[in-house]
Amino acid sequence: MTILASDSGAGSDANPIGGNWATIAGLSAMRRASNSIRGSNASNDNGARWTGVTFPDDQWSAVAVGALGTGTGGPSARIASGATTLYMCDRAATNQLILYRALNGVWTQLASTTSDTYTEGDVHECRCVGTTISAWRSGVQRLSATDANIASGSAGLGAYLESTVLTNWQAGDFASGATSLPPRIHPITRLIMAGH
Amino acid sequence: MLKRWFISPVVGTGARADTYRPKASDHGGIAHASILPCNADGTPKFGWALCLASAADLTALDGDAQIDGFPDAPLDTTLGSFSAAVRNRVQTALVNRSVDLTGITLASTLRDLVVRIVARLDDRCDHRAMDVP
Repeated sequence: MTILASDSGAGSDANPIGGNWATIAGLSAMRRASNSIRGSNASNDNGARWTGVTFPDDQWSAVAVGALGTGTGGPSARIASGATTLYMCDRAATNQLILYRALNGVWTQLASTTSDTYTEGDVHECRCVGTTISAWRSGVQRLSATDANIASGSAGLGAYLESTVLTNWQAGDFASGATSLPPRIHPITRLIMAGH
Repeated sequence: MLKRWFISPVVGTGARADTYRPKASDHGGIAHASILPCNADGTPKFGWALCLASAADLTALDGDAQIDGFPDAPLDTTLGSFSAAVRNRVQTALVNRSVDLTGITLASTLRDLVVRIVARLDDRCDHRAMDVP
């Protein structure tokens, strides 16, 4: 697996988040706040897709999800540029991990766990390989579904409401054939390295 | 955890707070992976879905008259291993959903039936990719 894009969340506050991020069509913007990425709208879906690179159809998107709050959030993949069309691995307020498909703004649940125990900072990942769409938590596959309705798009992330704290987003391809993510720098270490 | 295949109605409106989903997922304590193909506008192509469900206890799904469950047996099990009553129940569930059963015999397996269901829903999908904890 190769990392094609990343954003630790560190940096000056900005709303919308800007840079290589574009707001997903039909959703509210993501913002950078307190060295993390969060939603901007307290009563709606928020989401952003990375525009700095063209992602291959087989792609992964991963992000560390903060403490469980009233909101939800997680990585997205195969995000369209002109519609609310994407796959998303969402850590729901019910502590479930849910794999969603949104197509033209219509949301469908493809898979879900039962209530689970999550730790603040768990890395959640959405992988798309052909018609296999899977959700991972900290390197362990939790859900795998099959769907053929979205073939391509960009990687990104999303949050329902504004309370979910997302950090250390990464996305990439499967070019090397490896099945596990490369080692990550802990967000705190990253902040220290950045001089914060 | 128990894992079994079910055919479940699709419920919901497609809104973020009321997503389309298999009714089976509304029963408490059920994890699922499902095939829910959609039309170009995102709405469900069918009113039903194929679900791989997992739970410590699946009796709630068996007790739901709208949900049809596969027998609790490995997918390699031949249909001839089941009673006529079980076979008829499964056959009725599949015929009611226009699943093509041409060539299915007592020597066919549960896997053969799952493959036919997937072909009916979306032949680009592969049931072998589905998994739940």
